[in-house]
Amino acid sequence: MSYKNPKLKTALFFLKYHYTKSISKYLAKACYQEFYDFIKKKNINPENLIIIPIPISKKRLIERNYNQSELLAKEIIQEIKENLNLDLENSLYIDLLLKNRNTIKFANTHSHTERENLIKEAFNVNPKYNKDFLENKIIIILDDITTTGSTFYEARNTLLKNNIKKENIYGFSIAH
Amino acid sequence: MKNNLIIFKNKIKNLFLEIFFPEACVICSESGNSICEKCLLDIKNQKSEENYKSI
Repeated sequence: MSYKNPKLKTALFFLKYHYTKSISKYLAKACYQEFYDFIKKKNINPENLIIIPIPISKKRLIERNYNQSELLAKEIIQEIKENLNLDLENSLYIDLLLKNRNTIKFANTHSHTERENLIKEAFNVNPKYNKDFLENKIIIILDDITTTGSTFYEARNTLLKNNIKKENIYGFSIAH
Repeated sequence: MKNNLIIFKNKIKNLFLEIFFPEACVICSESGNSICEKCLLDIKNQKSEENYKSI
């Protein structure tokens, strides 16, 4: 959905900064069909699918009490289960990707280069998931907003170091 | 200890918001859901060029 839409901007702002967690449910209602269509279009077997919400740092998690991308992922999965009869609950891996440091809020940054430098090497793959487990898996990284794509790019780079093929990694964002 | 205090503060804040600001559309303030049907439809209909792409 378009981030140019001021209504979507407001909704995401409330979800991220005003503790209005229920917004995730409504945004999921607006985009679950596209998520499902994508899985079908790419002919992805749910058993090989890994959905990773972009993690937030421990500091931000303490401040906010929740990860908005994780909420969105759970709600999208729930909507798909209820409306399209496809259970993806086992495909959600909230702890596969870890954020190893806190970065300043992206909303306070402007340039693509600045954002790229901020997020560089900010992610790690949780050591409990070994390279054999990740081999041949199809990964969908899910984020609330993407503007420059720096977060997706960095998450992808982290995954590439862990035996995942480039063509098996996709990014899905609610707003772009 | 400091972290626990922050978590506690946030929980109190959430509780306060839930009690004193019952759900209304965050966009048009219409009472009901946190996003009303009209606003949600508007959001849904304005598509970006791509929602997913190979990265």
